[in-house]
Amino acid sequence: MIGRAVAASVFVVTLLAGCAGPSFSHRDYERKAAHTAEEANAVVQTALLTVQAAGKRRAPRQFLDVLLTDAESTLADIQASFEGVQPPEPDADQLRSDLGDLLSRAGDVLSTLRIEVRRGRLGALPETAGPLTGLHDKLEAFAEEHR
Amino acid sequence: MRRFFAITLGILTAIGGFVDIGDLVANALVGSRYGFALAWVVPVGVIGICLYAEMCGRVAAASGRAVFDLIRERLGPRWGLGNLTASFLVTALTLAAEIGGVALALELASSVNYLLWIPMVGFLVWLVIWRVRFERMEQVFGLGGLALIVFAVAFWQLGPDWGQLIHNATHPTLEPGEGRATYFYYAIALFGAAMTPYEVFFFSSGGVEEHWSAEDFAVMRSNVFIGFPLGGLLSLAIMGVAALVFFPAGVQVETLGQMALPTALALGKIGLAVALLGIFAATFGAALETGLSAGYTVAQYFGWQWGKFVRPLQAARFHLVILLSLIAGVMLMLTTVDPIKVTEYSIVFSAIALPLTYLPILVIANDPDYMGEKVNGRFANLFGTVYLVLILVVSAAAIPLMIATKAGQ
Repeated sequence: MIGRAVAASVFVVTLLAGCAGPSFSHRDYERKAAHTAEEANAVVQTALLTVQAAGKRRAPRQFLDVLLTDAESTLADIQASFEGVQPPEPDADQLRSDLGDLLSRAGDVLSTLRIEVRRGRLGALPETAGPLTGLHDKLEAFAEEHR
Repeated sequence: MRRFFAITLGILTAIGGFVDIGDLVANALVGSRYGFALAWVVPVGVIGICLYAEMCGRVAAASGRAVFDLIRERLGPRWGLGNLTASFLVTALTLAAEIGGVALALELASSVNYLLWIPMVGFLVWLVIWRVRFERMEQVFGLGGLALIVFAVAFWQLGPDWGQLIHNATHPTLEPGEGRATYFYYAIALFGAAMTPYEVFFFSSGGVEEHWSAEDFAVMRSNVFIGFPLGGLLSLAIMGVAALVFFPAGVQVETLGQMALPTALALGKIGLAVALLGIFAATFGAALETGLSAGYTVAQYFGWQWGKFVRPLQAARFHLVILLSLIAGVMLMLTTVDPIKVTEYSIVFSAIALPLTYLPILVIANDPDYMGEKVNGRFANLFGTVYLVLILVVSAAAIPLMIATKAGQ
């Protein structure tokens, strides 16, 4: 009986280990925002590396499609996860809005990249990805400021 | 030529076992997050798996029986059942992860969603296990997995700073914001991926499938001492390219596509095609190994006829266990659970189950009733005991670290 209870507890704790917790203070919310910006930046960086491979014609369309689709859906998950966190006080709304704007703009560029790849317009990818470099810098600065 | 093919069991075990989906993911993830700061775990894992795989091979060659076959007889049904339960669950979870890995490799080559490939992959794994001869199976997928050498070529092509690399590997330091607990969590994940239980069960059962005898010690040792270090080198190469491309960019590798991307950047379309072939062969080989290992462990515990050296009709229950394990793996993957997450959990659970696998091997390898003159010498016992202590520490620390770090976040 005790063995079963221990096994069940371990199972539940293991599942909960992957869950994000709520924010209890402005500082906590700020840290979560910084972490979200870092995660989003990693996705943007992956997309930039993928575009680099596409620009030099070093990867086929199918491969680029999978990577950019993954990047788009990962960013959407990151954004949804952050937007699901309740801002603890009105002061946090500006933070939420600033980061939300950066994430939405990055998401829009990734969507356009995915569309271009599926249309076979691989040559257009570097130009389409142009705004990602600026967004990468902004996300990095955001994460640095609120870490 | 015959001797060359004789060592392919070791290569298959190394490629399919040491470099399976768990290693592909764990090494790329660790390289991207820590650079070379965890590279030391790979040789530690290689030495450990060589040590115990050699014992298993010796047991198979000296007694003509697989290790799991002897565990129940030597240690009793209760210990055997505990061992069976832990090993089977970890192996079945790993099988599901490998099926997901093959499907992801096919998705990267075709851009067709991996979920559509999963039933076909499950069917193909079953068909190969059912129809293809053991030797042919190991030759095709073992040698196909050697295509992963492309990661070493890509690593060379990316032009690492060798002095910096050696310094980082020998003087591991953590980046600001990285905790020690997370560092050791990933060390355990790498170690667990290197010493996955199914590797030794497959290796000893494969030895029996190939009818090893006392005359085959040299072949068995070549398998161990060529195959696993080769797998270790491939693991380091995968870690290396991730460290060179993703670590400076602050990107943590979380998909198989990211893991393969450095080969495209370094070598272009041909390099990428070879890498995808290697990933396919390694994960498919590992799916065969884990599928067979699921059948081996259950059939050997219950004393059923097992193996591919007899007709399927004569080993019906063995093949039934394999079939049911495959169906369960396919169904788990079709729930849309992330195959990479399944892989990450399977290697940590594997670390937890390690003592149940490796203690009985050490006991049996010291029993003169089974081993005759081939019992462990002082060297094997000294290092075997040191590794057993390490395995116990790793096993005890795995769950607390998983909880404390939120599974490595």
